[in-house]
Amino acid sequence: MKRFIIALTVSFVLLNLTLMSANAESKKVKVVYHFNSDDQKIHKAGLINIQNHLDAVGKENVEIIAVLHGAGLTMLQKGKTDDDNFLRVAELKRQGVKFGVCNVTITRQKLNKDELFVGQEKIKDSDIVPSGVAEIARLQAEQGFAYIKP
Amino acid sequence: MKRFLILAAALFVLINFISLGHAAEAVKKHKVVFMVNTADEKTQQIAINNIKNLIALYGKENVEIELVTYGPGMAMIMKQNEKTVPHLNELNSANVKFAACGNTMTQMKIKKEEIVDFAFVVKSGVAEVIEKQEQGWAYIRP
Repeated sequence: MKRFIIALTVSFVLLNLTLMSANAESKKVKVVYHFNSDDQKIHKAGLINIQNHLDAVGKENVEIIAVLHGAGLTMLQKGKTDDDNFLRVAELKRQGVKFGVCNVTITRQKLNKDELFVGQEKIKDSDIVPSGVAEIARLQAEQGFAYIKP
Repeated sequence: MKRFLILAAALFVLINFISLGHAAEAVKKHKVVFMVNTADEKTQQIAINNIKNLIALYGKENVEIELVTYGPGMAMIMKQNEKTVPHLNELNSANVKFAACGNTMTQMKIKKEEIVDFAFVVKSGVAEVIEKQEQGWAYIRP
């Protein structure tokens, strides 16, 4: 019986430690940036916002996902956005920024995935989300992300 | 001692029930507030499309949606707007709620009769977006 009580106490302490570490982890700020415009100036401004954000708080202290849907996918298409924006995207990706590209848009607009570039590389399956709008809602409602629309 | 163990076990079961209950509730219904504050017709149309797509994805019984309009965005919910109103009627029958900004209505001299009948007036559109987020709603600005 005594051993049982000790075991119970130990498991209780462990549970609390786990909860505490979960809290510590959630202190990392999580932010979703939303792109749905074909305006190159907005692409540039948004990408610079993200770089400034990383510089301001340190990339180890923030988790950033850029979600693109609708006309926002032009940010990944050669000739539809400023060439420098590809370099900006590549540089952000190198620093750990994730890109979530809307599959509803790819399907509806019949886009060729070979013509979408996350930086210098062609888009991968891991860069695609089923729905951009639903992903933005999910990140906020279930994962505690803040929302920024450049 | 035995009573203590029973009590501890009961407490454990209770805690599990409570956390499971919360998780199930969170998965069941999505809550999303959309905001339009521009007279740009393209943006207004995008907002309508985004909402329709979201309802198609989740099913109208699984998602609660509110569209907040303020400033020049209120043009979108005026009865006379032939481009948006047919779509708004459709969204209204899918249980989408429409919040109109009272401050904008005062400043732009818009009467309640001029906006679609199913819209309701809030004191401030900006405050409405903030309060929805405080209540755990996701926020999207098309």
